[in-house]
Amino acid sequence: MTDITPEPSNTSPLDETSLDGHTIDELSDYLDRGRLPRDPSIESSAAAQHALAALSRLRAVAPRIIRADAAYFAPKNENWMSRILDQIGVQAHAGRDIPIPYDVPGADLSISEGAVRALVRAAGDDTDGLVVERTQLDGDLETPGAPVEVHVIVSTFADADDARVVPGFRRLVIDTIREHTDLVVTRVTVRVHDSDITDEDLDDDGNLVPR
Amino acid sequence: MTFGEVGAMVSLPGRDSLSDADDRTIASRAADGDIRAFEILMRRYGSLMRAYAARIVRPSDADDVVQETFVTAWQDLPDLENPASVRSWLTTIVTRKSIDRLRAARDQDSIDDHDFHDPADGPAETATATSLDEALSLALSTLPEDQRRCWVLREIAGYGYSEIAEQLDLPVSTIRGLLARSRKTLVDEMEAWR
Repeated sequence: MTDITPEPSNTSPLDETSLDGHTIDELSDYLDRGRLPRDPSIESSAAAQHALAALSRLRAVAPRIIRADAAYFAPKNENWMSRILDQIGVQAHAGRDIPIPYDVPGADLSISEGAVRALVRAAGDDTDGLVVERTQLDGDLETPGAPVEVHVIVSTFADADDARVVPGFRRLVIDTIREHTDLVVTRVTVRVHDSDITDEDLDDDGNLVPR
Repeated sequence: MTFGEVGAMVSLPGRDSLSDADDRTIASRAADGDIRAFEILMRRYGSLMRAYAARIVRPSDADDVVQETFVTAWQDLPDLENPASVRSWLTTIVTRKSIDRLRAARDQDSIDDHDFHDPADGPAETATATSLDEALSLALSTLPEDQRRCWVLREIAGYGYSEIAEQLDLPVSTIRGLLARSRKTLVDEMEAWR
């Protein structure tokens, strides 16, 4: 039979009939092992070397394939997020109920712990130069008058003056909580993440000491 | 009466700047209970997660998998130790959810005894690739689904052969065969672009 196909016969570096007796599977394993221990029959075969190089290149571009996919697989409508938000809204992290004393018989007012933490984050949003990352309320929130500690982790912007920005934010947190709740806040700790603050700015517990 | 919605009433001047923040900051905020930060996270990685899921499950199931992924992410975010690695963490969840979905579909399939082989609704075979990445994305679409699944679990999710075999309920020898064939097809496509 006369083969007159115009294609070159050896286009695929992974054609197993011309891998000097090696297989794609075997060469993939060899690559996975970091080509160790050294296998002379693979290392001395030009075809196997060619195949290994191709497998390495494929591995290198693999993450890019999924990124290219993302363009094709982008959600087709905006509803997809609201469906998820609807579902998690039911189980939002509300936390404990903090009672609000109210002078009307039968009235039962409360604010959720999650809402107070949102207020602390909002205080950060109102402060130039920092972003609130994590908030935490420690203490017996459900008992009126019990001491409560507020811990906040923030990052400050590179050009922000921490010694000025952080105490201002701390003051705002105290005022905001006082305005919206009857919590007795005995301590507010603001820890600055990724920032250069010298030891003299902090007390032993990591509180920034206003100067 | 509960003022649970107080957070939603507070104006958020920081919201716009937050959308430019890095993954660590956004993930920390979301872990703290900030649903707007979580929205930003979904916007940032929704397409990637959907692409990922569509390569493992039937593409028509990808939306459900993405939904389950983000609902679980919201629940588990407070326990994420390194918020900067939120993308790979999401990838781990979407892989697990995809495999769960696959198993459920398989169980269902053995009951219904019907064959499902939806053509991947990804990049169309007739589309013309304008880059190597696109060409490989197209080639991935044309692979038989079991080959595609194995390749994604191995090369993107980083699963070992025995792990893939266990998750897909197939012998390791079969997995090896599927991977070899998928690698050959993709390498041939890649070489055509050299």
